[in-house]
Amino acid sequence: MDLTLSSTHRPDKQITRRAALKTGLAAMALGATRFSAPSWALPAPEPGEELVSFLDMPRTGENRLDWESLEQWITPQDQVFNVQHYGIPEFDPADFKLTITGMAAKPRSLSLSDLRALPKKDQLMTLECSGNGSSKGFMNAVYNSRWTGTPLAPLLEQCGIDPRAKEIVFFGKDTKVETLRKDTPRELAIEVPFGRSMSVEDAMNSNLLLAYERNGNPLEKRNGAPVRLIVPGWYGVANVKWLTRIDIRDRRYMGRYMARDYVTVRGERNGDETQFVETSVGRMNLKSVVARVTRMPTRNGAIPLKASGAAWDDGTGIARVQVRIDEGPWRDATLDATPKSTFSWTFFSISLGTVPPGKHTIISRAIDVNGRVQPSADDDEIALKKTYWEAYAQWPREIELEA
Amino acid sequence: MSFSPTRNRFPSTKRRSLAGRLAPTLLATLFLAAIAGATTRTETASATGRIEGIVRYAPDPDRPWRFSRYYVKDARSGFLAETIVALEGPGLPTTQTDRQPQTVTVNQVDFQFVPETVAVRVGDNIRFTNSDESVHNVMTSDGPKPFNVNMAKDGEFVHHVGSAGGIQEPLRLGCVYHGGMRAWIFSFDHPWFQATSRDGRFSWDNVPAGRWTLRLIHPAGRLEWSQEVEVQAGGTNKLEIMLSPDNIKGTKR
Repeated sequence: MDLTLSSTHRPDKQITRRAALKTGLAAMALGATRFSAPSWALPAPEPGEELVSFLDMPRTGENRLDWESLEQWITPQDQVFNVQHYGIPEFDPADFKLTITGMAAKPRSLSLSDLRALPKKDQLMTLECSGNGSSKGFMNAVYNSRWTGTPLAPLLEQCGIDPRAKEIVFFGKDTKVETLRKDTPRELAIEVPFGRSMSVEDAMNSNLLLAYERNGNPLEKRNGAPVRLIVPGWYGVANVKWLTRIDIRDRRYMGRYMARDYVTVRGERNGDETQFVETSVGRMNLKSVVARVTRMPTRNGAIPLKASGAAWDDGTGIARVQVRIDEGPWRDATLDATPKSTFSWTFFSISLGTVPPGKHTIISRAIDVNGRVQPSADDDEIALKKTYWEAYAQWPREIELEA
Repeated sequence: MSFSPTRNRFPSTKRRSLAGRLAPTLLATLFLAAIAGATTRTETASATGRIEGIVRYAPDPDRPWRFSRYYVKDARSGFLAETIVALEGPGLPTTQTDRQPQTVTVNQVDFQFVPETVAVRVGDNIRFTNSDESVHNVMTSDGPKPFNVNMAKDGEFVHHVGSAGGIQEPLRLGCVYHGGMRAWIFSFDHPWFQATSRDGRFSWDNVPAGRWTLRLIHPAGRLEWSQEVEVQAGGTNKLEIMLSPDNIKGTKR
């Protein structure tokens, strides 16, 4: 169940760690001990505390999450990524219509005003590209937001879904000519819209939203304006941008981004054999990232070190995050108690004690409420994965400490 | 405390006074006022002069600019690297007959274009290479001849710069496989442009005497600045340009 945030506790209004620190320092100055720093704030930077840069990482530019400066639970717009496969479509938002077609007793066509007149709901959610983490050059495509829109399920119910229906397909305004069976006598070039589908059961989940705002502002066009499907707990590709048609069908939709791309190919042990299985990218996986490391001045030849980061999953629930340095033991990090929401990331922090100067590797792993552990690159489910989507392996971060 | 690429100062959280927050703007104003009097004449009678300058960035803890850790040499000096500085204005000569076309290499290494910000003359070539094990791509939708080239390790692609976009219209480059990779190619039809060094410095000799617009853009950090400069024959304009969060593109002043 999602935590409902009251209007006096909207995370995007005030929850920066810097703001929290200011609050904490102000409270201390007043001697008001009852106003302790919020539990989700990192320990206040001490005099002399410094950020330690990770080795050999590319620079983080605009519209990408800047892990090392991560401090806001709700991601600012200039760190929000966008990925589109058919380009950003050109159209007049005034002409926007969302149609609900197919196996519906009462098909509908709705304008943006029609959607805004329907019941409104907020949904907090961490949205991640399924390729995020596939390489050093693609580690920043994740962000946390408060989406606002109208729930999808009541709207579909009003349309009267035919009981024989199996799938709901979501089409965007973006189109492209796709070539099938290229360079064969049966080559076929057709213009198709971007589309993704899910079972009727999944689509009727009460968490799905037809969103027209992010963090209280209208969506930016690059993020899907005027209306984007929001599917909490699913990778970004399922959250169809520039949503223009919802089609109810009695058979599987096999568009490129369901059946040909965004297909994970993974070897699975079956006795002595390894069988490769193809699955469509859907729900998010358990994942954690060490976002930044800070140090204090060297004391007696060793350096006090801290780490902090974020962990998220498909809504199952993060139970613990553990961190290790080099080949040392895994140690439990402290999870921020608030803000917290089922489908949003949780921040963590840990003191790593004192370490000698030189190169070190810091790594985190998340453990969910069912005991599932975020795998390492050597574990079968990662090592036998032949495609780059669903890149949720533990991520070693390299640093070098000067004395 | 000393600084190095692997040790950056934590942003101060101490709230600054109004005067403190206005300081960068006041400093910039004072520097600009100083510029007017900084022109000095030399013995050489000539129709050209010299411009030399330093670009610095003055941080504001209340308005952190997260790119400073990449481009500001250290907090004390504020030297700002990889800033494109160029002259503009009607009448600025565009020919330089004795110059041979040059080739600038932009490598892809550690999932980054190196260098990231490049300025060249029309007629020059950009040679893209890939030193990473990963397959990269170089693409742009800008300019009269957009390109999109896949590149395996040790691959190479040469782009001929056939037109001048000036400081306002660079080619914005990316890698379709690694969305975080980006670079900018600025092209000019005159020689009075430069990317600032690690020490924030730039300089030109033989600048035609006259009144020109000195324009500055930091494409990665979205900083912008411009100022009129009067170049006198035989004179030297010494500029100290102090940028602040007010210069971030789109910042309300």
